Parts: sequence; C-alpha cells; structure tokens
Amino acid sequence: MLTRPQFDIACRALVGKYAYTAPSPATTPLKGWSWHEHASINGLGYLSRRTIHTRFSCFGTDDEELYREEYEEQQDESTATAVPDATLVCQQYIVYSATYQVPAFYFTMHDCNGSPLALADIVNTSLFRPSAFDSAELTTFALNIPDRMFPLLSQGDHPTLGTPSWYLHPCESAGAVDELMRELGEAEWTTEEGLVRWIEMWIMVVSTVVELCE
Amino acid sequence: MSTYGTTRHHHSPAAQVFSARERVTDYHTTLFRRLIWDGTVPLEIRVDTKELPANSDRGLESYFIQAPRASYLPLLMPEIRRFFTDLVFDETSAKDLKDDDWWFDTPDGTLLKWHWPIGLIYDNYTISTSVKNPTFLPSSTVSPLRLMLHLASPPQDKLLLSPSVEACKQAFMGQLKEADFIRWGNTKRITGLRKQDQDGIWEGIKEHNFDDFWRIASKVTPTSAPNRTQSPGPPSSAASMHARPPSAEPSGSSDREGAYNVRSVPVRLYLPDGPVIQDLVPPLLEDGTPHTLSRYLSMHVPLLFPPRPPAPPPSRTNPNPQPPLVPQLAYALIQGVVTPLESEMAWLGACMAGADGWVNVCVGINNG
Repeated sequence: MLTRPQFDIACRALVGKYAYTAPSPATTPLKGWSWHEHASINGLGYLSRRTIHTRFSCFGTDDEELYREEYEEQQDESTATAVPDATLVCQQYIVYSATYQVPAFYFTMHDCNGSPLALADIVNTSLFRPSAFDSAELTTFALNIPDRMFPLLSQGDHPTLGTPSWYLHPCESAGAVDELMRELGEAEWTTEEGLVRWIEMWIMVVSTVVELCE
Repeated sequence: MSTYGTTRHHHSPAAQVFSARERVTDYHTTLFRRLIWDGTVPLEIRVDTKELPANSDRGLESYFIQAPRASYLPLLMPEIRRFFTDLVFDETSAKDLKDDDWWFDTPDGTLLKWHWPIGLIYDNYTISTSVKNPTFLPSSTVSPLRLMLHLASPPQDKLLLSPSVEACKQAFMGQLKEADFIRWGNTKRITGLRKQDQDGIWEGIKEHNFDDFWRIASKVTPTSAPNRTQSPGPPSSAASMHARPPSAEPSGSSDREGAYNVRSVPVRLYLPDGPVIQDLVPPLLEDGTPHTLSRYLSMHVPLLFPPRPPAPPPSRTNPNPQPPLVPQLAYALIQGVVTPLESEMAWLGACMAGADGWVNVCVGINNG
C-alpha cells in the first residue's frame, strides 16, 4: 500500500528517472509518463501518457505483426497525426485509488476519428496481451472473471478528471507488488528510491495484462 | 424498537455464521435510515423539442416524477418511457428508440451521470446553482430539477457507456464493496453474503423496498452505537478485528461492528463544479475524540470552512469566554439536509450514508 504523498513522490521520481534513458523493452513501460496536478485542488495528481495501438486481426499470422505499438513522442506529433486508419489512440493514466490506497491503471481508447471503442473491440487490440482475458466473461460494460470479487476491467469516472474511463481493478495489485518487493530484499535505498522501485514493480504487475512496451 | 434480519432464519452453515451478525438496530439509527430512504426529489423531464420524433404530441412533453434519492436514472427509464410512448411519441417512432441511447442534461448543459444516486445528482446540482445564482437558498426552495431527455447519440466521452439496469447494478455493487473496504480494510462482509442476499440488496433498491434492503444491508452497515459503554480502540487496531468472527465475543459484537470502530468512514466530498475528493476519514481523532464534520471540512477546504480559533482565556469580566465566530461562507449538504457541522463523521456513516454506503458531502456557497 502507498499513501497519497508516497504515490506523488514515486510518480514524480519515476518521470525524472526515465526521462533520458534509452528506449528498450525493459524501459518503455516506464517511459513517456508525465505528471499532472489538478488545476485548483492539491493531492489529485496523476501520471499520463499516450500510446498507439492496432486492432488484432481475426486471423492473426505472426505475433510480431500483431504487436505494433509505437510511442507518440512529443517532438513528432506531426507524424502521429498521419497514422493509417487502423490506428488506435490510447490515453493511459496511473492514478491513486483513495479506496484501495494503491495506484490504479485507467485508460481511454479512441479510433482515429476520436470515437471511443466498445469494450468488445478494446479487448481485441494490441493494448492487451493476447491471452490476458481467456477466462473472462464480456459484457458491454465490464470484463468479469468468474468467482472474482470485482470485475477485472470496468468503466468508471477518472478520479481527477471525472471523465469516463476504463480501469483495471486495483485491489489485487498491492499484494503482488509487496511480494515482488520482498523478493528484492532490503536494499540500501533512500525513501524515494524505494518508492520508485515500488511503482516500477507495480507497472511490471500491470504489464502482465497490459502490453506496456513495444 | 425496530429490528432487522431477525424474521427469517436459514439453517445452512453460512447462514449460521451470519446469524450472529443479525443484530438489533437501535431505534435512532433505524429512524434516520427510514428518513433517508424515504427521501425523494422532484424531477421535471422533457424531451428536447428539436429531437421529438415526427407525429409526437407536443402538448404533453413534460413528465413530473418524485424520485427516490436512493434510486438511479436507469431504474426510472421504464416509467419515463411508458409516459412518452403512451402520450407523446407515435407508435412507429417509439419502436425505433433505444433506452441505451437516452441521456439527460439540465437546461444549463450539465450532464447527468446515470451511475450516481438520484439524490446525489440533485444535491450536486443544488451546490453548483449556489455558485451561479447568488439569490439561491438551499432549504427555502424545493423546485423540480429540470431535465432534458435526449433520445440519441449520448456523449461517450463524458458519460459512462450502456446505461442499462445491469450496468447500474454492477456500479452500485462496486460502490457497496468499496465502502466495505474503506470501513474494514477488506470486503469480507459483502463477499460473505450469499448470492441471493447480494442480489437481494439490489432488488431492494430496484423495488425501493426498505425492509428488503435493510434486512440484508444491516449485516454490512455499522450501527451508530450511541450507548457505547467502553471507549473503542484506536482505528488502527480496529482494522485487524474483522478477522475474528463476531460470535467469539457475543457481548461486544455490536460494539465491534459499530460505526466508531471502523478503520475509516466512506465519505466523498463534492465541490461546486469541482473534482470529487476522497480521503481516509477515521471515526476518532488521535486524542480519542470523535471526528466531526467541522474538522473534516476545515481540513479539506479550509478557505470555505476556516478552523474556529480557540476561546480567549477566561477573565473576571468574562468568566466563560466563547470562541470568536467565524463567517459561514459555505454549507454542507448531505442527503438534501444542511448538516450541522458538529455532526460526528462516524454517526453520519451509520445514519446519513446513501444506500451504497457512501456519505456524500456536497459543499454549497452561502451568498450575501
């Protein structure tokens, strides 16, 4: 579990740590995030970034083709607007869940005309690992795993922006992260280093479902 | 004295575990729950004349309804649809209209979130009007909230998709579980309910049946426990108490389940046209005194609720000095009631929470 101030420290430190590292499969899930505060209220900051995805074709040939994910770096916005029709834009957020006291992964997904995708289409995009939802039951508003307490994926208001989003239910991520942190053992980290490691591990846990790197 | 959950006894092993929790709810808690449950708000619904299908009867385009605060817009849809189908739309065009495409806004363009309880929608509109309209007073006017019903093309970037009853049920159950987690650090109380009870709690909302709803909800909602005989432990130790079955300590079980023993009260703070603020709200402060609404508000919005300075020291001329008055810039609206600031947060959690378990504090601005 993280407190709100710990979350803020971890997120800001993450942005700084990966601002200038070279992109690689290991660093892309951690790169490209920027920190945003609410215009008038403190304590509502969140991370966001934008990624580009494609739909899975029904008759996929090769995993390499299925996984085309590119970064829309800020400096080449001109090329990003010229992407082909099949391109999907995903706005990703790491927000703080005040209820579960852990980070939560929120996102929206639009086609190139700006129309949001239906959930049935979202689960068939390169945003998710192909087998991520094998046992899930799909409705128009959620993705449920039988016998689970919460839907794996459901819609809700973005905690800071208040806009409709999809989110992965955060309640089980903290346990997994704490287990990974125990594996890492007690290193001689400063508080901030420890918190960055925590959020890095959390992103790793999320990336078992979400494709966060190229 | 009113009781909940004692009229039916089940004999499955699961039911036996929970029978220990079927407890007598004190009279005052029941009274407030009943008052909250019976709260309604007036709505005036009209279809945008530009969107009325051809051959509609334009003389009857308004529908008035007194809607339960605890209900949701998707639950009103069948009734609204029946009115407009019977009296306004012609038969052919009514067939082509899909409820899932219907959405509401107010004349000033505020979109209505279908997954919010109707009472919260009303209160939230009240506080946003308090900023826009300086002559507005919250308690002096009970005017209908005027809603515009749109029949197609919901703004998908602003409203959640698919406003069906099923989606609404899931949103409601999600809130109920979150409230449970906030209180105890886990959701064992809700997950411990049998499937019929989990469904039954939603049926209670759908049918707006107080007894059906509270027969189950009282198993998961703390009591206000006004007759507390011993000082409850600090909130941190309360979080670990849930692991022990309540039957292990029969005499103390109702206290253990009491509103003052929760880890945190499920509270959300709504500001006019602002974001929703949520934080941990312990029922007791570090010195063991109850956490009050006044303290909560001056912590989160100190500019609107300035902390009251301490009283000056007593003197011979003024042996009982009162703390200086601070201007009342804003007020707190809970379930449509302007709530006294000395209210204790734990009590609000037990008696003034919505059916989904959340205390929604809407802050309005005093004018003049």
